[in-house]
Amino acid sequence: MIAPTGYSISDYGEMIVCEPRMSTYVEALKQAVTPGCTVIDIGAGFGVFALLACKFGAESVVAIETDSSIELLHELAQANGFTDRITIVRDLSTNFTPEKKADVIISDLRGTVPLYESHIPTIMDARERLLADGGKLLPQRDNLRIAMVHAADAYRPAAAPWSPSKFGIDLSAGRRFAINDSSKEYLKPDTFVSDPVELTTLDYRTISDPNIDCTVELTASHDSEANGLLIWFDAEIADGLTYSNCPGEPELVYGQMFLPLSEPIQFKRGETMRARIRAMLLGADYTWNWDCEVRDPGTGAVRHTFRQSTFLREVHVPAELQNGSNLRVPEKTAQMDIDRDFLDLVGEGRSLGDIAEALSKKHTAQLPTVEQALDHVANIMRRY
Amino acid sequence: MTDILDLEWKVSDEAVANQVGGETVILHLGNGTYYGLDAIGTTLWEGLKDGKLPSEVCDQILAEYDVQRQKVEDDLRSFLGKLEEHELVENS
Repeated sequence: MIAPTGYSISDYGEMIVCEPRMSTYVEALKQAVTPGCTVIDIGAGFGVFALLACKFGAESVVAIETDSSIELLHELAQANGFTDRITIVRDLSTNFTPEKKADVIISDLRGTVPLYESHIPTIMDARERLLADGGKLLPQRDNLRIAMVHAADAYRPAAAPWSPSKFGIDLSAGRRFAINDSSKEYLKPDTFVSDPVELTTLDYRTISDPNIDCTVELTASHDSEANGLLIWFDAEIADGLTYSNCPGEPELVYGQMFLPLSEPIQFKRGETMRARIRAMLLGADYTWNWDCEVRDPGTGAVRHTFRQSTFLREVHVPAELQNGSNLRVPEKTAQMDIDRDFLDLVGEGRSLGDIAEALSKKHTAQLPTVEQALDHVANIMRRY
Repeated sequence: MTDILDLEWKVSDEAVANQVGGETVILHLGNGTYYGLDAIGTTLWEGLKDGKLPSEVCDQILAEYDVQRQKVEDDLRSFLGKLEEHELVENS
């Protein structure tokens, strides 16, 4: 279910030198692979784990990746002498059915946090359909952690552009959107306002729900202003093989996720914030929601209450949402006629150039040149 | 039986609303459904968020628009019923 990533080969290179991430994965793979076993690498990139699985003795390895970067694996497999053991599948893992189930499935489909795009449903599907009984999932578990922080640089995009500016125009209406945007950060431990607490555990061996709904109490460890929440994860790739992207640990490719507070809050040591964190997979990606409440420690009265959501970072227009409504009765457009004609011409043994020429002739107003028609059909072809 | 326009309502914890240009888009976090509100719907939604009774919002609409009270009340009852049906508001 993982769609093309948009990572470049250089991006994958960064992941290979990202330590201790890479060494931990490699050691876990080395321990999991036994002579003659089958390995599936999901979201393989250009297939570095697939190559390593061969090196460690796997009999057959399937590298699954939708992105074109996987094409490099042909050359790399040949260079390393593994061509006869690696099968490349350029598709979604959810579309793949193996001849033989895998003894080991390795993946790293996380974004800044593991609740990222279709990561969890992909792993759930792989566990049920692609993994042999007693097989191993790498990683096996991630622990999400959270803390209150004060991070001036991370908070700046949510506040500074929308404050009274030197240009003398009022941009304050933009703030309510910007304050609901998450960001990837690399914060230091000195930004902590509370000690970190566990948000939830994602155990890939048993997980059955891609969403989380957790409430935590965060207690200020010293007098300080807090302007955001920080979420990161501790990874357990296999028993005893772990790494963390906690502030203070070596910086990893993931970073940490910063959720700004609607307004900075001044805390005295021992005061607490109650935070309800919901991450809901809606469509292709997650909507993060953070509801925060701070009560006066003396009277118990609510001092601050915020309801924030990444849903609120975008300008939503009701008319545009109608396109996805079951009540909408769409009207036919000239663009639809072009697409219908194109699909009718596919499968008759004609080249895209021939089809583009025919479309340009018939739909001259929309596609006045064959080049424009070819661009148009190329875009349609990408969908398939 | 109390008229629903005289009941106190609160926005559901499952609803997240985004207002721009006098219209509102609501996301129901439980089922991932989006809802769009026009200007009148937005006035009611904002009123409920501010702790107003629907009857108070009705008075506000009558002060802003040249419409008959009966029509506004009927529309608001119907609209509130739909918001409740879709679990976007609840009795407080």
